[in-house]
Amino acid sequence: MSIRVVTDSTSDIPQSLADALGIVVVPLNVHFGDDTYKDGIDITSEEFYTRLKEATELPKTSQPSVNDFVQAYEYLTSQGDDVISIHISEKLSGTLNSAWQARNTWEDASGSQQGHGRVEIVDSGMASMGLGLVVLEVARLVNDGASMEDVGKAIETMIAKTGCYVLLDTLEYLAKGGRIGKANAFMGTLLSIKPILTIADGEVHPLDRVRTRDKAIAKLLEIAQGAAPVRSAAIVHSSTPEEVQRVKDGLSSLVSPDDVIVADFGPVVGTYAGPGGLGICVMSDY
Amino acid sequence: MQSSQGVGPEGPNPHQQDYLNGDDLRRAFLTATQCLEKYRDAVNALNVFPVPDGDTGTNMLLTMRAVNEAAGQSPGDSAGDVAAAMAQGALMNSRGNSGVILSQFFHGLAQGLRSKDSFGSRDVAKAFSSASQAANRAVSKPVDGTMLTVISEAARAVVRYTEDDAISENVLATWQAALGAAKDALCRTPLQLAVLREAGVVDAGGQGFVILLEGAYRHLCNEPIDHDDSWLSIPVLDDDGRTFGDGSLSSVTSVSQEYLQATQDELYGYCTQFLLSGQDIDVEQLRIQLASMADSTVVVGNESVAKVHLHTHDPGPIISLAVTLGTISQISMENIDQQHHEFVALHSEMAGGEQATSGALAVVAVASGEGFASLFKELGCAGVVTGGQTMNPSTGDLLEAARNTGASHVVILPNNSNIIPAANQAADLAGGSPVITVLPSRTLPQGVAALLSFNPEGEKDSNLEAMEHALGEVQTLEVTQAVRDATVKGAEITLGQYIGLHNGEVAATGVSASETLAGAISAMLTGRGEESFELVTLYWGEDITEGEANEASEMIQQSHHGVDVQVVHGGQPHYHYIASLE
Repeated sequence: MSIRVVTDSTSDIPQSLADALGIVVVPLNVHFGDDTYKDGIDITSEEFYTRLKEATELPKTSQPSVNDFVQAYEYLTSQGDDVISIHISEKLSGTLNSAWQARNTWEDASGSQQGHGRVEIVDSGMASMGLGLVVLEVARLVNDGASMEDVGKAIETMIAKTGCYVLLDTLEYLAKGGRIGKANAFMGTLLSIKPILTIADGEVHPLDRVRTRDKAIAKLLEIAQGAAPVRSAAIVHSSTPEEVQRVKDGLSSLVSPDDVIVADFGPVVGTYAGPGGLGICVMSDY
Repeated sequence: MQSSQGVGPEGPNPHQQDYLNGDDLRRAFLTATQCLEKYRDAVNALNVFPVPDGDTGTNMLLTMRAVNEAAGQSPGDSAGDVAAAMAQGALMNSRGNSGVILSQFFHGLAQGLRSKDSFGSRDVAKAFSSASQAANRAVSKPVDGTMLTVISEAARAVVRYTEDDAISENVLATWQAALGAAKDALCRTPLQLAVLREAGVVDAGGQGFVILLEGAYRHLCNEPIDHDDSWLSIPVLDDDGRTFGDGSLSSVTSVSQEYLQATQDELYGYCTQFLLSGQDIDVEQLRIQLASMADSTVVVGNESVAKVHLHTHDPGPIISLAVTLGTISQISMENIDQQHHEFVALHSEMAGGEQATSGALAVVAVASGEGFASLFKELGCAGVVTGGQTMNPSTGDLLEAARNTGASHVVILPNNSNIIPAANQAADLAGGSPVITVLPSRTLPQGVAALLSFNPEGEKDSNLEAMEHALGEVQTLEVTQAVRDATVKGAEITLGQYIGLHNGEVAATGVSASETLAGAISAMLTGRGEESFELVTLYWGEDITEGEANEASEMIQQSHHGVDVQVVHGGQPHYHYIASLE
């Protein structure tokens, strides 16, 4: 009997990393018109951004179905394993609703059966690699033999110690997708600005706005310095390898470039971030 | 003239009087204000810089209007009561640097006359002393050769004068001593301040103050206040207008002809306003047309009614043009009070509708031009006060805007050095409700930069720090036309010539706005290198069309590779272009 970690595709965890740590990723869906794609399964990030450029209408996203979670929970617990299921903020997505309903359904059907594990569901209050770093950390803990109780005790601190700072090229996608939250204060059309946002308390908040991308990246790096000492760090982007390298170099005083996880804003997160997004996620020592 | 004691005007010596009362004070400054009104344009013309500047004469006049209004509504008639009312009126309505200093003068005067029913020579000395101290405290770095020097010298003179027992009892003679010293000090201001020397003028605020003292004096002595040349002081200059002897009055050897010429010209201008009603009025076109014929042109309205405000030497052609476009009504000429109030009313509509913020920190900005007003609102200002280089909002305007935000702490971005003193005074007056912090932004782009660093969700202290830091990060270029001939740092500038300013200093001149802009950018880059900036934001003013602005933008991009130019509608008057480089 062991503990299995479940998350959703908005964590943007690279597939190879998820596989290596045995993390189960439940995909959300992306819809271009009538075409539906399972995030990261039916459509890669590259395909998504190519299609986004050509699309006349912005894509939409939808949470995983209750059934998607039921199947995942059923499969894992039937082996006798416990499940810890960590997800995108309830305020940003209905994914947690599907997860909660799935657990209720599963408990009614088979939860009481002898030999089945239990399911704990956690709202990370974040998205993308902010969520991803927490999931990876939990996976490492359970692989090192931590109990559900150990994880339960540590996870709130982990979440509190994790920051997610994102530079967007435009707020247009976030606004049109209805996820702009408090960053609405940075909306405007008269002056082109590069907004820097964070996710805190489950919502998108404005942090800073600057006039040029160059300064925005410098600002992003400056913000990240405040997280020292760092336990883990990720760069998540829909930008260029050059910019990713620049950020990696910029973070070198905090974390060795080899240890920085580089991830794409996947299709679902990319629907709201748009092209040209660049984020730094860091978990401080706890 | 009413006097509580002493010999009245019908007596053998009308210039002998021992005491003055509250009504004397009230009437004296009412007359003084009439005199200032006459010479308002002359004082305005004393700009030391050939750019459309904060109108010192107008600012002082509007401040004095408030002084008189308050004096008229004073609950008590004692000298102390009247002076206190005057000080309060000045405080709330002071405009510009000169208005703020003037309000501090009245504040000191009120302190000196506190609980006095009437006042004599020694009281005048005391009042002038405290007025001088208060005025000097009002500015962070008092500079010699300004209105402050004139006030200080007047105070010093009356104190010296009243120490002489033999002649000290005549309050009018004491006032005259103050006036004489003020005039002497005013004539010498070019000896103390190089900018005045170069322009060949005396200090404008000092001139305004002398006119007020003289107007009051003439009223108290029952002398006529007719227009004659003696009202305007003559700058003390050497032969070549640059080097000086001992600074005494005997060293006067020449008078700046341009100065006299300029003031003569200004005296015959008309402030003209009317309402134009008709069909299919093209407001934009009308504004362009009128701006080519007159100064300070403001045209607002819609296709069926337009409000026109302008300054011109000859209203005739303007009126003739207007009647071809529709029916004109509510014609007014040379009515500064109406001009001001309507200007404010028209523009407050534009700046209206701002949202009240109950948050901890709100920002109020001063902006000129519709484009800038919209921009400041979009970037998160809770209030935008209309004003700028030539229309300085009052302390009261700023305080009201700050209070209207509903926030407990308000940051004011004056966006013009002439407005910083009034903003500081508003901060003092607010008495903590709300707490007001003035971030001394001197240009509109500085204000934009500061506002961009403002995070409505951020901590108060980190916001203030970030905003202040951002002020210093931006380079501002401005292109305008010289409003008079001048010599600036040895360079001759002629009336109508385009001048490019970098952070307020002349950096280029030219025959067109775009050429001057390009020149100013190149001058700025000298010693900095091409890589020193990547983004130019070009705000086009009301004298420029969008097409012209786009052409200028292309020109910049062609001559500076890798630079991004963003063209934004500023709509500001007087400044064809305002650009920020970062």
